[in-house]
Amino acid sequence: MNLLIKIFNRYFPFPLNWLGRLNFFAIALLTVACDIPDNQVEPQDVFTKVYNNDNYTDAFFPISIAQTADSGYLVLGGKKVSDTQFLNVYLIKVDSEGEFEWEQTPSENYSNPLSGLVSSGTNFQFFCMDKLNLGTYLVQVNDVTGSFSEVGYLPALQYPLAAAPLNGGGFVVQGYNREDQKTVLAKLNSNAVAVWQEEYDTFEDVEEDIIKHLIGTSRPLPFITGSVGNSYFFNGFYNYSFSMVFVKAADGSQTGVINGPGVEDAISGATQLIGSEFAMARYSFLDNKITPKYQLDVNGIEVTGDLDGFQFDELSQQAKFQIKKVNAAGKSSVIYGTETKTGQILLLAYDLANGSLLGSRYLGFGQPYQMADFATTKDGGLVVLGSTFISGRFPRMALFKLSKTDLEMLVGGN
Amino acid sequence: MIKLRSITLTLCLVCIASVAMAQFAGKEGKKPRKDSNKFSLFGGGNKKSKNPNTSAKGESPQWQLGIKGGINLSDVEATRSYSVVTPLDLSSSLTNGKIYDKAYSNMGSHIGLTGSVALSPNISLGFEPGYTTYKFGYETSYEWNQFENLQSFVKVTNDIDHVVSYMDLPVALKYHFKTGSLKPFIQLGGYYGFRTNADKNVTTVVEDGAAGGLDELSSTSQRIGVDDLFIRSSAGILGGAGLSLDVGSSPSGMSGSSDLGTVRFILGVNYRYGLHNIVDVKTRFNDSYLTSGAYDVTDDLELRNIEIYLGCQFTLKYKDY
Repeated sequence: MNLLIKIFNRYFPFPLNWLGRLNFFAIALLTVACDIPDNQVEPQDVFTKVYNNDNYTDAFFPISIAQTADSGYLVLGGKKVSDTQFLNVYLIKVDSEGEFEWEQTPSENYSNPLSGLVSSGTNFQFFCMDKLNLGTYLVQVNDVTGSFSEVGYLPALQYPLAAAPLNGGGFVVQGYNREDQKTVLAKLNSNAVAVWQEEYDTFEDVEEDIIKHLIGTSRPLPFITGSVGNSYFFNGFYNYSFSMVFVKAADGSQTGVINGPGVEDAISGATQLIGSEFAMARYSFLDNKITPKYQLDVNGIEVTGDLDGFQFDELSQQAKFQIKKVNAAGKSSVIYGTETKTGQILLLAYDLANGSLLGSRYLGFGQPYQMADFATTKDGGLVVLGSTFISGRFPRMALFKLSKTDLEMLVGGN
Repeated sequence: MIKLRSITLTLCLVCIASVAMAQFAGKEGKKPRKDSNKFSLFGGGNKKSKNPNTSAKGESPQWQLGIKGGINLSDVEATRSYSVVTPLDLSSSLTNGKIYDKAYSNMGSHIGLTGSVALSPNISLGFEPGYTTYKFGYETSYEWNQFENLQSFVKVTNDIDHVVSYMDLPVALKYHFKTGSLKPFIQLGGYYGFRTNADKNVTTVVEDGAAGGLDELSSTSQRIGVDDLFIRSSAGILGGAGLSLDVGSSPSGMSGSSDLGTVRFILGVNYRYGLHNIVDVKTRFNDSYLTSGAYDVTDDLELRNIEIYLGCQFTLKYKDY
């Protein structure tokens, strides 16, 4: 500092040399005060929101989230209503700072929406169930106006349980045929017209289990569907068990299976990484295991016990999983979104290349929080949708927005 | 940008003022003035004037140092509001907003040193480093009702209080209206504070009609440290007025070795106006207990404060004017 003052004195005219000579303390003061101009963050970078109304009997359950063109968010959820045990379709639109813009409960017939809001031009599409006939709707919503339109209705595809978009357009949807007591998988085109629909034996009536899953009176069952190479798969009831079944994309004929013992031991999350490599999660009675890298054989016969992973005793016994690939901080990672026994949402980031843990982040405290969905955002951050019980008892939707820096820290960046 | 310019300007003023103080002292020290160093409480005590011809009549305290303390009545101005709980019905009366405590109703305190150097018979520069505690708070409440059954209601009220402490470095220019022993004065200056500690106290009161409660059912209180919630700096401008009373005599009139010389008692009031947001916007949502548990998030806040103080200054040095 003395050297600095000497330089000041020599080269700077009055009054600067005056400052340097007499009051380096003042210069130090200016230096530490740098936190004043640095104290700036855009409100849309980080926020926590809980969406509430004052109706004692209302209950909202979040399901899926997508970022809209205006950098806001469209949240798909279910709302408890009095005339049925099924959840009505319920959507809210919030702006980029999480501030509420509008809510919609489109039709009383639309119930039990499936996870996955699929962008389609200026609209977002999702599947839901007909409250009376149990058939499958593909509905689209305009996120600007909040208007709904029906893309298609498939009365023969009952109890829609899971759906996924396909790379070449169209969808694969998993359902259950209550008359035949069989799991159904259907390939649909983008207009919700069935290209093919196949049934798979369950050899027992599992409708009661499915209804309990849909109305939330039992452990939520991890119905999953999707594609891997030239195969599709579903995770559901099959052959007296709860298994992951692989079928040909061309006609739905079965090629392989990962057999699970039953609803008490099953795969609880699966996302394709590269080729037939998957990031998986599995539960077995009260235990949860995470397998960040697992090489599937779509033509083989395996058992869920083959999934040797990291056992997480802190996870809720009924933990739901959302598993997604994320690129951040120059790294390719896979993030698991799940929930803990203590009522927190837990994000776990694994290295896509070697399956090692990169970082973790807990969200929520003091009130119970559960995982619903998460998505990366245009600003390089992460938005996490969860459910909470405000004041410990009123089911409401919660939104956590993490900044780009937060996400980079999660995946182990600097 | 205007705010930033104001902050920079204030800090520069503070610097220049302290420079001026030091410069003035330096010049005085170098000059072989015959009337300087008449009395020093800490070292030069009871020195007789080197110039016997100097009249005691013109001698006034030049350098003074002492202590001061008093109360703070604080308020905050929320320049931008944030909330965790967001109403789903825009037309609803349910605003979920914060209701801040009545302005200047929360009492904190401050204690520290008070120093001043007289620049002329009427003008002096004061530097008053000290430890200052500001208190402010607000209330949030949420209510749920079942319209078919009026007994089914729950109301949760959170009373949230903050205590934020700073090591303050204020500098002010004082103008004394009268040159007698009782001097009214006004002052204007700036301050800079280093945040040393911050706590938040959350008291939750629940009224649970649904569970059969007719009155407040439970009340819990939690105090947590929130140092990271506030940035290190707090800067602003201050202005105030007061009365000072000089007691005792200058050294040329003294005879006893125990005499303290001129002692100045000060009663004053200052108003402090913070020029920037003191909340750390980067960490606003970091504390999960607050945001997810108590649904509390701190707004952008600027400090306002009235300080009422008593001080006592001892004279280190005299000067003829």
